[in-house]
Amino acid sequence: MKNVLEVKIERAGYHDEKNTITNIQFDVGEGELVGLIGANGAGKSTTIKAILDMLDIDGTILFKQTSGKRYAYIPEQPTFYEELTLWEHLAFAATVCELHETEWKKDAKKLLEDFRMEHVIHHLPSSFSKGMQQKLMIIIAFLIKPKVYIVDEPFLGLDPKSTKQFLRYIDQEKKRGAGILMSTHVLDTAEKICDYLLLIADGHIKATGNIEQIRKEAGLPNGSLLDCFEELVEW
Amino acid sequence: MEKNTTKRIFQTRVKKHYCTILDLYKRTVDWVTWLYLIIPAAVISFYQYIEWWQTPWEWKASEIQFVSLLFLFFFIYTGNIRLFIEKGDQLFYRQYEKKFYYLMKLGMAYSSLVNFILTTVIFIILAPILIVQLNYPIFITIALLFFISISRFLVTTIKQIVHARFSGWQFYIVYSCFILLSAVIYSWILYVWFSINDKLLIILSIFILLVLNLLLLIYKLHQRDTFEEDLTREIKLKYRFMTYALQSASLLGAPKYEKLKVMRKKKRSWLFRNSGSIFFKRTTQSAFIEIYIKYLLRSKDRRMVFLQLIGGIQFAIILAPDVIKWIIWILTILIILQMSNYYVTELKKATFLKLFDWDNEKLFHYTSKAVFVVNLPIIFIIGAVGGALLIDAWWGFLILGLGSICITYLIQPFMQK
Repeated sequence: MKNVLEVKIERAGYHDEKNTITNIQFDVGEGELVGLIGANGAGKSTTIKAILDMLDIDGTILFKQTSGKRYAYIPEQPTFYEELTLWEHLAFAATVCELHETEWKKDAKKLLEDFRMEHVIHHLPSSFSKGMQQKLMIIIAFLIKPKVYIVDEPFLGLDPKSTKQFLRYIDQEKKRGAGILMSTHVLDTAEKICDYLLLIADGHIKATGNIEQIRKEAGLPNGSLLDCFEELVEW
Repeated sequence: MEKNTTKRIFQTRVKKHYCTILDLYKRTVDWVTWLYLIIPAAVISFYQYIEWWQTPWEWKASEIQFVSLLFLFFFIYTGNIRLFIEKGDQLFYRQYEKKFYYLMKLGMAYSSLVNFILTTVIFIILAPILIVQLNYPIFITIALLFFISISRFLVTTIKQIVHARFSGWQFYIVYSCFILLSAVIYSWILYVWFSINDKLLIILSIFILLVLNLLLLIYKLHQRDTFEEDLTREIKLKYRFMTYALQSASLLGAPKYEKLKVMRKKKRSWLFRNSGSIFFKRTTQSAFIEIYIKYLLRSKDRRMVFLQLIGGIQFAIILAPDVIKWIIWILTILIILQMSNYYVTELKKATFLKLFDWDNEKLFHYTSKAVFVVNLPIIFIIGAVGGALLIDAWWGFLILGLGSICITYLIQPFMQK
């Protein structure tokens, strides 16, 4: 399995030295879903921001992509232009990522239908609920079809149907060969879908591996991810 | 007891508001600003003011009267009401209805006082025009002061009531009708005042306006579903000085009060209602220009800033003496570029743009193009008006219009961050 993302962070953080992360090293392979698990303030979002070049960083971040779109980012807090409609956001993303017009329009239509957003395509996202705004972020990411997805708390505000649809698309993208880095608090879902887990606490990696390896490390052969997390991470 | 607690909360919030303004003043205005901007402007203005009192203008009285009353009509529409409510009030304070209403009442009383003081300041500035140039008697001038002050507060109250009941295009239709109606009533009242000149009638008309204003304030106070609406406005007003300061310095970070917009507001925009494209051929550059145009035109605040700026500048160019006209013309180009620079930086710094992988050099090129294309008509109009007034030839408007565009093209890249 080829890597699509290689992260070697010696130190990254804000200027005030708070929320600093150290020695975070991991890879995301083709078709692999890596889960970033940790308590509030553990350093998950800081890690993501460091990967996205939004922070000062000592270390290297390598997107193993020679050309084209490097990544799609689904942020925890939906972000959009209040003055652009849903469709205009999609059109802008498609133009910036140089997608073929007929293709992206077809894909966009399918995504809008699957996430039940086709009735609000000409509406301004500021009038949407939190869940609908989150769906906008998800639709843009899946429309771009990059090699790497960086997803921060995707389930916040999503209704059960959309959550299921999101997981279906994630699975589809894995099969296409995309690598996914996903930060989440929803441990029972993470346990089921993640191929590899990174447990972060106080800005360091506490444990890594698939669920079996994590269980072994925690000494809980039949424990859930939540049990293992409780065992491995000091509160 | 209840009233004392509310009074204390109100006093604390007002005090905090003024402390913020003072703090902002200390951070933004230093001795350099005083030396090179405020003192020279004050000296020139004071000299001009004394001139107004001493020398009659060459303009016809009817023209001066028309411009002055038109200015006062526009001034009526610039008011606001501070209620001093805060977001945290919905946690517990709002359920104490009496206390909460009392807080809003205090806010309204405070706003009416500020409104009266501000109107008085405007009338002190206009006094030489009204008393010397137009020969208005003192009684009429004072009556006009009360009429404008009450009307300003009344218009603000009505605007807030209308805003709570209508949104989107419905609001614009109702509000436009209201502006037209108020223009008719304003002209009619003043016509009756000046033609009949009956003191009792003038006092009576002011009294009727005052009673109407009080009734509408009571209605506004008891509107039950306007908390979020009022809160959004309150935050906007609370941070407006900070926003102006940051905008004028081309900095970002003004609080995003837009985030508080309630859900029922503005689902679709009336401009490009079906997400229409401006450019036939879509490239990253044209897409960037397009979102910048929509970003400016679809935001009421940004639209108004540009319109007011252009209107105010045209007015200043027309009224100012010739030498000053040239200074205003060149300053205008710089101000508009500064404004555009601020907005395009805001657009560029938005987190949404960070979802994509940008080449910084290309992004700089796109933003430069976007600013230039959007400013093209504005800069041409300002140059053309200046040219028509300053150059005594039919082609004056064309040469200064095109000249303005060339200057903009040359200096704009140096102003962009």
